Amino acid sequence: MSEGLLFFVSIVAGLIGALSGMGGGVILIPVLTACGVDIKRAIPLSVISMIVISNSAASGYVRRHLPNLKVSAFLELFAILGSVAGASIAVVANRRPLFFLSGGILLSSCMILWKQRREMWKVTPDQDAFSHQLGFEGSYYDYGEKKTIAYRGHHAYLGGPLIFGAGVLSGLLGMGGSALTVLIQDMVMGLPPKVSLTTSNLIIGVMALAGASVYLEAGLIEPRLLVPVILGAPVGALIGSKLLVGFTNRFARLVFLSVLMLLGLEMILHGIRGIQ
Amino acid sequence: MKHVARLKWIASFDMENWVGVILQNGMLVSIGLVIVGVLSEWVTKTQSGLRDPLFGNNVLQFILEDFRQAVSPKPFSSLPIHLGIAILMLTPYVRLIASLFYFACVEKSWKQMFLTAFSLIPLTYLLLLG
Repeated sequence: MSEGLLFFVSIVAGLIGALSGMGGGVILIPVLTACGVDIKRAIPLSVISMIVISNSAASGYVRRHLPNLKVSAFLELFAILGSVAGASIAVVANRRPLFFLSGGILLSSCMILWKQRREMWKVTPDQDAFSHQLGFEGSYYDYGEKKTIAYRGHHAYLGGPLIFGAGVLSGLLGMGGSALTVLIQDMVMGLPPKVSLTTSNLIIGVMALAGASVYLEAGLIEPRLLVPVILGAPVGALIGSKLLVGFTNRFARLVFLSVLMLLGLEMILHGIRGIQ
Repeated sequence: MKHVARLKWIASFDMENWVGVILQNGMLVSIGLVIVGVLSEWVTKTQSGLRDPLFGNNVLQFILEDFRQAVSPKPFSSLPIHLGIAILMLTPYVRLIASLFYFACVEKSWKQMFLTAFSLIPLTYLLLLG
C-alpha cells in the first residue's frame, strides 16, 4: 500500500474517529486489509491510530471542558484492566464467535438508539449515592445549542464492570471496545452524547496504550505504515474536534450512530470471513 | 491569609487546560520528530529504519535502545521517527500522571487519586517492565 494513499485514508480516519469517539480503526482496518496488508499488522496500526486521534482530538475537547475527567479516571481503570486481560487471552481465544457477538451487540444498540433519535437528551432525575460520591456531575457550554448544559451521571456501579468488558473486547479483537465505551456512558450512565463521545476520546488513549505495548513486544508495528498515520490522523482529528463542538447533542448522536452501524457490519463481516 | 491564597489558587487552577497543553505538546513534539526523521531518511536515501518493524520488550526498552543508538558513532537515520513514536505512546501516560498530581495536591480528592493510581499500576508495568 502506498504511503500517500495511507496518509489520506488516515485523515479520514482521524475525522471519523474524533467525531465518533471511536478511534480510526473503523476506516483503517478495512482499507488496509483491502490493500493486502495482513490483519495482524493492520490491527496494531489501528490501535496506535487510537492514541494519535485521542491525543489530537482530546487536547481541543478538554480545553472546552467537554470530557469529564472524574468519569474518565474511574472508567480508565476498568478499561486498562480489561484491555490487558483481553490481550493476554487473545492468543488462545477463538475470536470468530466474538466478532459475531460484538457485531450483534453494536447493531442492536444502534437500533435502540435509532428508535430514540427524536428524543432530546434529559438530565438524570435521581443520581445514586455511589455515582454522587465519585463526583459524576458537571456542566459545559454547548456551542451547538448555545446554552450551558448541566448533567449528572448515574449507575457508576454498572458502568465500571461494563467498561471492563469493553476493554476485554478491545484487547481481544483490536476494535469495538471504544464504541462500547461511548454506548455505556450514553445508555447506562446517562451522560450527554457530547460528554460521552469526548470522554471516550480520552479513555481510548490509555486503553490503546495498554494494547500497543503488547504489539510492540510482538514486533508487529511497522514504521513504514505508521508514519503516514501519525502525520495524517491528527489533521482529520483536529477538523473533527472543531466540527463536533458546534454540533447539537442530537446530531452528534446521529453521526455516532452512522459510524456504529458501519462498525457493527464490519465486525459481522470479519466473523463471516473467519479472520483470526 | 496563606489558606485564602491557597483556596484562590485552587479555584483558578484549570486542570482541563493543563491536560490540553500536555496532549497538544506531546502530539506536536511527536509529529515534529517524525517529520525530521522522514526528511533525514529522504536525504540519506536509506529508508532502512522504516522497513524494520519496531521492537522492544516494552516501551522503556524501546526508548533505551533509541538513546543507545543516539550516542553510538553511527546512529540510524530513522532515530527521530522512533523517538517520535515513543513520545506519542508516552503522552497519555504523562496525562494520567498529571491527573494524579491534580487529584492528590490540588483537589485533594482521595477517591479519584486512588482510582488514577490504580490505573497507572498496570500501565507502568506494561510500559516499563512488561
